[in-house]
Amino acid sequence: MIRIEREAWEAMLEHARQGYPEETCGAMLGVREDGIKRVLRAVPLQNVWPGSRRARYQVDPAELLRVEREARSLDQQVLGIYHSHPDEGAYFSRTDLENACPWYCYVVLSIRGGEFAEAGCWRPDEELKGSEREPLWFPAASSGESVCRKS
Amino acid sequence: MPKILIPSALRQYAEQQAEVELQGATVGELLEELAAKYPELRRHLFTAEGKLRSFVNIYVNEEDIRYLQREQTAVTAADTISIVPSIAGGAAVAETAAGLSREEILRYSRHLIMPEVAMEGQLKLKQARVLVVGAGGLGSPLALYLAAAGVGRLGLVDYDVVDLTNLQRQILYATPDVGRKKLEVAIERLRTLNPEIQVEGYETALTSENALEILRDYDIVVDGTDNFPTRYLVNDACVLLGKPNVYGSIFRFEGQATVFAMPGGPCYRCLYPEPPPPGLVPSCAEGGVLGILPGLIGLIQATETVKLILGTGRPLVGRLVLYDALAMRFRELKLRRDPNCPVCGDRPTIRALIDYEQFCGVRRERGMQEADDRDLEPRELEALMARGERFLLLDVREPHEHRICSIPGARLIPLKELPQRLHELDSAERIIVHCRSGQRSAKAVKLLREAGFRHVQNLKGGILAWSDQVDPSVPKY
Repeated sequence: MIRIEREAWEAMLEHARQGYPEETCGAMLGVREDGIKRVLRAVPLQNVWPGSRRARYQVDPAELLRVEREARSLDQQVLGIYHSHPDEGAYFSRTDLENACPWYCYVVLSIRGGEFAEAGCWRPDEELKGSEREPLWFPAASSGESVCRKS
Repeated sequence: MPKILIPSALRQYAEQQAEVELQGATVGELLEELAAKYPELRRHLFTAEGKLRSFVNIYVNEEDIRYLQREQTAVTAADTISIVPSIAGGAAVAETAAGLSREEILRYSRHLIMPEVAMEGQLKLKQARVLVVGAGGLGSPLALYLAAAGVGRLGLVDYDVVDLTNLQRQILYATPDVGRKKLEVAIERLRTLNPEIQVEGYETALTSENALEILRDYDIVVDGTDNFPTRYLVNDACVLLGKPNVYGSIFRFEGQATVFAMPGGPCYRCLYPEPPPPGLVPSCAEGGVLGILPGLIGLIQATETVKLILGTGRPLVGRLVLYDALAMRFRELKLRRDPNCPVCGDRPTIRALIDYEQFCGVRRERGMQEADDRDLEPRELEALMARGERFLLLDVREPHEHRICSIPGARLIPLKELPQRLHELDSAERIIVHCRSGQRSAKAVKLLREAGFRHVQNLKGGILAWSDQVDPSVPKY
């Protein structure tokens, strides 16, 4: 299970809304506690896909390396990668699966008309042939309510 | 001992270690040691055949080993090796791709039967958008083959008119096209070759004002230009927009090609931080070019473009291919991204397009040439000859050019021999210098004046202007 804390969640949404109508991507940093991945920080990464970024994203490995070092210095881990699907649902596409790295989990944010619509989290299998949904927790939009569960 | 940093996601397979020191002389040896020490790590890093998995990148300090010697890259005790995955994806490209029509399936059948291309690759080609800057020697074969291969949207930037001297190498054009706009002819030709694709023309010079706007709509930019200001412009625009710049250049019997501005790879400025002084490197119009040469270099660029689109093979990134037609030899130079590069470095100082003519010193040079009112018009030279005045007409071209055509009475001393042969000339005599277009003779005039010759003049426009204005029987070349 992955649980995204409010500060990180709001940073991810803000990044995805800002980048609309292009896909945005970033790294999720945090800690593992009792089998739960707790995301404490979201680090926006540049989408370096060499073409239209409306439906594709690519992470620059050199930038990911810098983030990995940053996580190390904070005593945190890179737990996963998030990216947005502008005007598409939150699903793990074949493109997402085939270009993934099985070491991480992947949060997909659906952004419709520039606003957040839904989210999901997936974990690809080791051969990148299929993926499994991973339960995802993120804070509700109104700060009054504490945490709502989505899967 | 060299140190290997374990990415956080893999530490659970490495007894929670964040870094490990191991013995080994190359990256390959170190990784093998690592997998031997932590057997659970092996399947995460290597395939069953023992190759690094496709998504695994290895860095030695700040450099990707793909741009070094791969697994054979040597390491020392001071080096840090990092393991970084490649990650990409996207909503829907593969799923929503339009299929191919029956005609397209026939047209591309030789691609479709190759597993490396197949339907998936052909659809990638169809969805690709490639901009070719310059529809000349390099642009001609490039555009023809990319159109034939089925690149779905091709953009061409050129504002020139077809000239008879173009036909020796610019195979987009034929003899009846002389005098027509290049773009008009090119678009017609490419649409006839492949009506399934879209061809867009931009009849303009690429400038700092329009470059980002034009490039923005394309995935890959191919540089088929012939001058330094545009090359720097294309490079900087590609780096700023994060688009690959497939580069080629040609001169006489030699050519170069590489792919710039890929993530982690070098850009044109990493190779050439400064432009050459204006006039030092002659253009093809001045120095000539073997007509076949742009065909070969242009097709290296086309090949790399298609590979980038298909995502197959080893891209020409971090490697500069040098081709020598006379020796029929290819050589390869390694290129590295310069961390101090002003445009693609770690702390870039160029964040917007600049004035590239000024950067390359082109405008100043033109101004200087125009300012000299001691130059002689072809008509004035004709009048001097008619009056029987005494002067020396000096031709500073090469002997093989002199044999194509010459002005009667001219004495030949090629520009490069001039410094050693000054003693053959009389410094008191009036000397009128000419070449083909007036550029080399301007250099000769400068050299002679500095050597103390007082009555030296340049023939404006060279023998080309002489042919236009005085004697049309003199052929132009």
